[in-house]
Amino acid sequence: MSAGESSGDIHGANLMRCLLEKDPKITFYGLGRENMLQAGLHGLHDMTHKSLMWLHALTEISTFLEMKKDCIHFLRQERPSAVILIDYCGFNFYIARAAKKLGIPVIYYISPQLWAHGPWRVKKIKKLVDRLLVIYPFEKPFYEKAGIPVTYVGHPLFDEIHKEGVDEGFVTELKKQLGETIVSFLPGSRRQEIVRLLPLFLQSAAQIHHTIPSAQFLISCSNDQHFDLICEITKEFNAPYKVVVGNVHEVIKASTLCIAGSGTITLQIAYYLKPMIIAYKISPIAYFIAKPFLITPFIGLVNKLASKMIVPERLMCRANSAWLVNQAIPLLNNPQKRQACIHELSLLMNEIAKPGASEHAADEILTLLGSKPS
Amino acid sequence: MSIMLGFFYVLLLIAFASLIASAISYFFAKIKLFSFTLILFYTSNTFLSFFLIHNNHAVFFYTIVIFLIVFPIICLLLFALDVHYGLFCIDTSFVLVLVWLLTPVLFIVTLVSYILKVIHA
Repeated sequence: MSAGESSGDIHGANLMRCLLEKDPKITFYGLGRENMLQAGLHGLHDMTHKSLMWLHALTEISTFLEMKKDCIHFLRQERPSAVILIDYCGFNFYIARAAKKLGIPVIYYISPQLWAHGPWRVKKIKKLVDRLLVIYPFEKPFYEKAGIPVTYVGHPLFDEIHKEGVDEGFVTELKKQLGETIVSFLPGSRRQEIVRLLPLFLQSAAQIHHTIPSAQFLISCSNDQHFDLICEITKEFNAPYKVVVGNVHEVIKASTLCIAGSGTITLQIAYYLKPMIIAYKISPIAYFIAKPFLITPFIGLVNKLASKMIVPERLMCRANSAWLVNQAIPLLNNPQKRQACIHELSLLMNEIAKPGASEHAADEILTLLGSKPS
Repeated sequence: MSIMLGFFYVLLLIAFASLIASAISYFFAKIKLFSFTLILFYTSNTFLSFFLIHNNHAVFFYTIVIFLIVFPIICLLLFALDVHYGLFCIDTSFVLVLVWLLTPVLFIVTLVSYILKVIHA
């Protein structure tokens, strides 16, 4: 198994548990983080701190080459029954290629988002992957059109949400401390995302607070490794905020409005039917290079899933806090606009927010391996 | 000499205009126009560099041709082949970064060579 991102690690661990429930003889080797290691993965490398994007990946190229070498050596020596790749396509393509050369079946769980950018990679997927297990309904026809064997299994995030639940006491505590108008900022789990997005969000916080003095702000810190970074960034800005480490579900549930980067976090916000604004900022050079390849009209998952703009979103290469403020004020002040947004989110969630993705994925994998799911 | 300088001037203008045009057409995903303007850019720059540099600094000329023209063109060709046939099955996004980092460098080298030529003339 190979998962590089923290979300991939969580979904990988859930998949491993489902597979083990159905077939306890399975042994897992590969790349993962603490969740997968806890679930029983024999780690070839610890993937903590390895979620890098774009040119930042070049700074760690020697580590990636070493990981690739070790993985290929393992595949040659052990000849596993299958390779299960989870997202993280930049690195996982290399593993897929090596496995394919050795005749090992390759299953890709949570496919790379080729429908959004880099659609040319579809031919590579076709060449490298024996079965794709996709998590969004619109991905199935996209890959089927390219002739790739694909199964829609649902989004594993909803398994997580159903399993974890919400600490209502913590939500009440947050509301008691901060009042009724809470705007939360969820910049993401990667260091680069926090550095790019949080200053933009905090600029808008000062302006929102100026217009709505009762507004208080929550900053979601996905793990404590980024706490110091967030404190360093917030020093430069003047707004009443509180940083919460972990407890993402509680932060979202306590919020009146969420401002987030694009990604799975937007689905979590949608699940709790909270109005949101999606803003994503990349460097001007990255924007220039990526722009021709952004084939989807929406950067936000909820808009893409709904096939229309149900929440405001913008991809930026310069910090445009004025746009953010212009979108936020009506969603805080105008009950009709809030209600319309919540209504659209509830329609979408009725359609997709169903648990059981890991279970379905495990069944598919066992079927593919010729082992009957119990 | 003035005819020669006029010729350089025209080539320099084509190089500059095609660089801007290729960037704009790339940004708006006009692939045919992008290909045409990029070919124009590489051709005009190669001629310009040849006339300006080759006689006195042949090694330098061939070095910049290999590094700033041949290398990015090979990258683009490999990228195009990978897009169409999935030949290499690696993530080739970095090719575009490389090409776009090197293209303005080529223009700057020829521009500096041209300015030096004008000063010495």
